[in-house]
This record gives sequence, C-alpha cells and structure tokens, in this order.
Amino acid sequence: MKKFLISILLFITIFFVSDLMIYSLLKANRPIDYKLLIESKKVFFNSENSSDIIFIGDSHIADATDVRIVENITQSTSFNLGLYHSSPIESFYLFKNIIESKDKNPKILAIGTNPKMFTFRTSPGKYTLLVMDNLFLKLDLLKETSKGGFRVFSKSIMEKYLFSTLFKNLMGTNNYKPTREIHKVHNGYLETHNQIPSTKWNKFSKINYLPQNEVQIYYFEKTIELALDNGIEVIIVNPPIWQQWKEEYIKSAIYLEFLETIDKISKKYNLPVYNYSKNDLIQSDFLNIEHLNYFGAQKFSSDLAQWIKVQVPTPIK
Amino acid sequence: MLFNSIDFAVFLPIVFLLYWFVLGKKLNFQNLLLLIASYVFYGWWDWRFLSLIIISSIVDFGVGIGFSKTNDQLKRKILLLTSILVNLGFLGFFKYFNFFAESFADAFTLLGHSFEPSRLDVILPVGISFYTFQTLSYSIDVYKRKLEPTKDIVSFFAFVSFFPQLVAGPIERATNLLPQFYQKRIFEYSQATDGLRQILWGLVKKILIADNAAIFVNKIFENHSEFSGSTLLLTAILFAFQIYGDFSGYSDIAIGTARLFGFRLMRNFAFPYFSRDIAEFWRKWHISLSTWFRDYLYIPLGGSKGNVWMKVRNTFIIFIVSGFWHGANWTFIMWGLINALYFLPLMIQNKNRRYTDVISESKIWPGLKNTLLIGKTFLLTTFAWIFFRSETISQAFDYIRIIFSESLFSTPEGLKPGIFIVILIFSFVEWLQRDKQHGLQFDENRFPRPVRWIIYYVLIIIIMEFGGSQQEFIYFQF
Repeated sequence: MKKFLISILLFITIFFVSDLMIYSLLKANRPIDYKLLIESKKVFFNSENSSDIIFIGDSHIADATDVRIVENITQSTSFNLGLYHSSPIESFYLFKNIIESKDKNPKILAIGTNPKMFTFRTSPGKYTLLVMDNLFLKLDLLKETSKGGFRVFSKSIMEKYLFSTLFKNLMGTNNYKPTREIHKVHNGYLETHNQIPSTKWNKFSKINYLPQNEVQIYYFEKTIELALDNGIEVIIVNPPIWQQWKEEYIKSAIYLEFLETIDKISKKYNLPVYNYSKNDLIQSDFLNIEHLNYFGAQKFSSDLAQWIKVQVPTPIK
Repeated sequence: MLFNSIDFAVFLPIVFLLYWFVLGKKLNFQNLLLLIASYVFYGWWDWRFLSLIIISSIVDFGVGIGFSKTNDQLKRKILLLTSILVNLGFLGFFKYFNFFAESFADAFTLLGHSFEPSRLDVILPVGISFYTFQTLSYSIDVYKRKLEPTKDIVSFFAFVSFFPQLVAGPIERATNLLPQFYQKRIFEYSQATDGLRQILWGLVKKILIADNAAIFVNKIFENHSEFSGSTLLLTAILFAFQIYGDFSGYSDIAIGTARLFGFRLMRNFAFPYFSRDIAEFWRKWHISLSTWFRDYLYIPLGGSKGNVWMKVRNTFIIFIVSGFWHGANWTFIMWGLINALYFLPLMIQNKNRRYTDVISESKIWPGLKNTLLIGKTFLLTTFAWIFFRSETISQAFDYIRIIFSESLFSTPEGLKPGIFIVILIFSFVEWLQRDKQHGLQFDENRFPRPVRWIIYYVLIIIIMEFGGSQQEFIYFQF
C-alpha cells in the first residue's frame, strides 16, 4: 500500500512539475500583445480594489472602451474586462467569478456586444480560463462547454496554442508582428494606436450565415439575471464597426437576428441599450473594420460615458 | 456520477483513502463505506431513484431470509416469484409501460379502433436493467441452492449497489460477487496498478474513441437523408466503434475501479471485433449479459438440447429478449432478430463453437483467411448496429437503402479522416493485446518504469487534449 501511494504521488508530482515547466516555457514565448492582454485583465482579480463600472464582452468592447475617459466623465472607477474571442458563456463565468470574489461587485455592468456573439459555438474560449481565478468556476465553465473538464488540471494544455510559437521561436522562424501595438495599459484597457496593414476597407468577403446558438443566448440572459439579482445595473453596449462594413453587414441575416435578439432581451429585462450617437468616426479611428483603435476609443468612450451619466442615475464613487 | 467527470476524479480517491487507511482493518465498516459511497454515486444523478434500489434490495434480502427458513417447494416458488415480480415489475413499469401502451394502441388502430394511450411521464432510472438483473441472480441462485442466503444485510445491500458496476455492469452474479463482501480484502500492489491501467484504457476508449465518434454519428444519424451512401456506411462503422468504446470503456473503468478496492468483477468484453464468426462475437460481447441470459433463460428453456425446432425457438427467444432488454423500441427487437438469424445457421450446423481460441495466437498478423472472417463478422454486426442506433425501424431501412444506392461510390462528406486514423491505431493496439484482459495490460518486468510512465503520461495528455465533448455512457439508458 505504501509503495502504491508513493508511486501515485510521485507520478502526479512529475506530471504537475513537468506541466509547470512546459507552461513556463510557453508563457515566456507568449507574444507581447497577448501577454499584456492577459496580465492586464488578471490585475482585476489580483487587486483588492473593486470598480464601479465593469465592461465585459469580447474584443469589440475591449478595444472600444478607454476606461480613463469613462472614469473622468462619470466620476467612477471602471475596469475593462473585455477579452478577445470571448463568448456570452465565457462572459457569464467571468462575471460570476467577479460576483463570487469578495467585495468585487460593481454598481454597473456594461455588456459589450458583437453581431456574431450569439453564433459562437459553445466553447471555454482561449483567454477566459487564464484570467479567472476561481478553480471551481473554471471547472464549471469547462463542464458546461462539454470539455469534460480534465484539461483544467494542465496549465500547458490550456495554453496549447503557444506550442507553435515556441516551436517557431526555437527554429528562429517566428515572424509574428503583434496585431495590436500597445502603448499603455490602464485598468484592463490596452491603448492600441496602430491599424492592421492588411485590412481591406472597401472590399469585403462574403458573410456566411451561421444560426444562433441557444446556449449563448441563454448565458447572455443568465449574466443579466445574475447582475440584477445582485442589485447591479445592467447596460448593453453596441460598439461601432467601420461604416462601410456595417452597410454590408446589416444586409445579412446574422445581423438582423442579432438585432432582434438584443431587442427582445433588452425589452424583457427593461435594459438601456447604447449605440454610438455621433457620425464622426473615420478610417484612422479603426484598428480594422470591426475594432476601434485608441483614437476611435477616445470618441466612443466619451460619448458612452456621457450616456451612462444620463441613463444610469446610480450614485457612484 | 459519470466516470469521465471531475466529480468522479475527486470521489474515487476520497473513497479509496477512507476504505484502506481509515477502515482498512474492519471489514464491516469497509462494506458500509462501499454502500454509502454507492448511494452517493447513484444519488448524484437523482437521489429519488435510490428508493428503487433500496426496495429491490429489501425485497431480495427478505426473499433470501425466507428461503433460509423453508424447504417447502411451494413457499420457495412463491418467494422466487415475489422477487421476480418486484424486480421485473419495476423494470416493466419504468422501462416498458409506454412501449406496451403505444404498441397496443397501434394494434387497435390497425383494427380500426384508434385511441390515445395513457403515457407515463417519468424518466428511466439509470442502470435499472443492470441492478435488477443482478439482484435477481441472487434470488434465483439461492432458490436453486447454488448459494447460501445471506444474513449480512450491509454486504447484500452493498452487493446490489456496488458503485463501480451499478449503472452499466458488468452484471455480476451473486455467486461471484457477494462472497467477496464476506472476505477480508488485502491490498495487492499489482492488482491495484493493473486496475489503474485498466481505468486509463477505459477512459481512452470512452473519451478518445466513443465521444469523438459520437460527434459525427449523432449529427449524421439525425439527418441521414442528407448524406451519401458512402458517408452513411462509414458512419455505421463509426457507430460500431462508438458503442464498443463507450460500453467496453465503461466496463474497463468499472473492473479497474473494483480492483482498487480488492474486488474481482467478471470480464465483460474480450476484443469482440476480432471475432471470426457471430457465435464467437457473442461470446466476447457483453459477456455478463449473454451468460446471464444463457444461465437464467436459455438453459431453463432447454438450451441447445432437443430437436431443431427447440433450438430455433430458444435461439430466437434469447436474442429477441436480449434486444428488448436494451430498450423499449422495435429497433432493439429487430437488432436481436437479425443477430438470431446470423447465429442460427451456426447453431443448427453445430458450428457455433468453432472459434474458442485466441485468434492467430503468437502471430503478429491475422493472415488472409482470418482477416476475411473478421471483416465479414464486423460488417454483419455493423449492419445490425444500424437498427440499434436508429430511432425507428423505417429510419433504419431508409438508412440502409441510401447505403446501397449509387451514392455509395461518391466521396464521403461530413466526416474527418482523423477519427478513422485514431480508430486504426487503437484497433492495432487492441490487436496486439488480444490475448490479455485489456489493452493496457502488460508485464511490468518487460517495460521499465520510465517507459511505462511515459505511456501513461502520453495517454493522459491525449485524453485531456483530444477528448471529445463529454457524453453520457450509451448504456446508461438501458
């Protein structure tokens, strides 16, 4: 029996030590833009401070909301927890992690949207698990996304996408240039000044129809309910996209279904929905056709903050 | 609780440590722990249905006590009948009520009198077909005086609900499992490590093979009319591996888990897809159920003794009942019927025991003749699986019709070659291990520890990384 237990312990120890070593190696090879993304968001859970307004959603809200401007105008504290590729189910678990963290409840939850968000497949995503700090919720997210949950035990498996970077770095063939050139980081907002050179501003590829995923809609609503149950005001924020792209996009069934769903949910819970009210966004305000860069974020965040001040009279700070 | 879940990964070490370290010297307490653990394991799914297991256990324990107090044959028969009625009553009520109600209604509709049958809106209790058969084996064996009735209520209840095999077998005989609860268990290092290997292999079968195959099988069976014959043929083959990986994977995990606690469960699968004829297949597939029916139904009916008509009758009865055991649907009955038709010619010609040895023993490759025989048997079973997997008989026939259409020669779509490559590698490993108890059984002296551990690590990583979406075990529904 003693021999058996020692063998098991040794086996598990070697597994986790090797896993940690591989993870460290992978982590060291993480591209700078993604490194900053993850570290900037993790700050929220590592710090003892709470924020009055929390932004969740995917890259659209992450790039669009400069929380410094929101803080100045609304006289609040804010944190941008938008995560690239994040789907509503990921946002739910991230938000639940906030609720279950002691004294982290915000006064306002701003849920950022993306016209494709309800078509995302049910998956634990790429970064959400790396940012969350509650092991049980990570397990729940893995279970709910039907991954069996076992991969939560291996840090290196969760970062598997870095293997190719590691390999390229070892071979000296890594020509990766960061998608976002990040100048500064503040409360989860990554100040990105550049534009993606390969962006086609006038010629767009065909929009393939994808049906909405009921699971994502369900978790979008669950996030709202969780916030409301905890006395948190909820706002829905539609970040802008490049005008010419939008003109093409709104013809698609994906966009129409998205608008219908958002309309239905906002009415169901009586939630205010924010759309950018001005017509002053120019090409240089965009990172690419779907995301704002720093310059666009300045305009957008200012307008959004003014709107929040009017729409949500919750006393903050 | 699913074996392929985090819950079980936490549950098992806790029970194991309590069992050996806290209660290791007290047999009664060990049995009590197993009983409690089994109820927790089952109740994790739905605690309300624990009452069925408890009632079934109380009735059969009482029947056993009754047997011990009387030699009167009539009273003994009444006691046996009580056990049969209660257990099969549960099974009939929860599993077959709606089927019979609908079938009667359909029959009346054919006669021109249509009516809406009353339906039961209850879910099927997980594992009911398994534990009712297990506890029935106790009553029958005690009735036949093959086994002494037990007075140890904890052991008996733990025997009925023993968590490793509670919900999907192997269906243990009281004569094999119950006496193990009376004996002091001694921890054996080699048993425990091989048990862990068997669990690991079971997880590979379930998570890597079955769950990944399920992704394609579910999608294509649900919309079979949209796919070509070639796709449907390959999907039927995928299903053959899905059900094997799913069910034999469960059995491996169950047997391996039981070994960690010092119990030996019966073998349930013996590499059935390497069978050279259907008779051999049925000696290697779901052995615990086949032998249960053989001992408690086939032999009492007369078995293979008697004239040809008796043989034909008994063969059909056992296969059809076996099909019906799997579920209240005509598709399962059809599946049983097809297997009976496969088996019957061998039975009549007394060729059903031609292949009882290990195929191509001590050779690496099977040779042309054996390859053809294996291929033929595999295709026959795969054909029958189409009925097993289909929702209705007409769906199965339509599925087969499309397979045998011109589109059989078109390029398959909707499938990925990766899953077939994985299945090929998996089958090759199983082929190499065909004279062993499971795919990962090996002589520890043959491979040094670092080699063995690297194999385990690789398999664990594969399970974590390539595991398909978590699915329930198919046999839970039976």
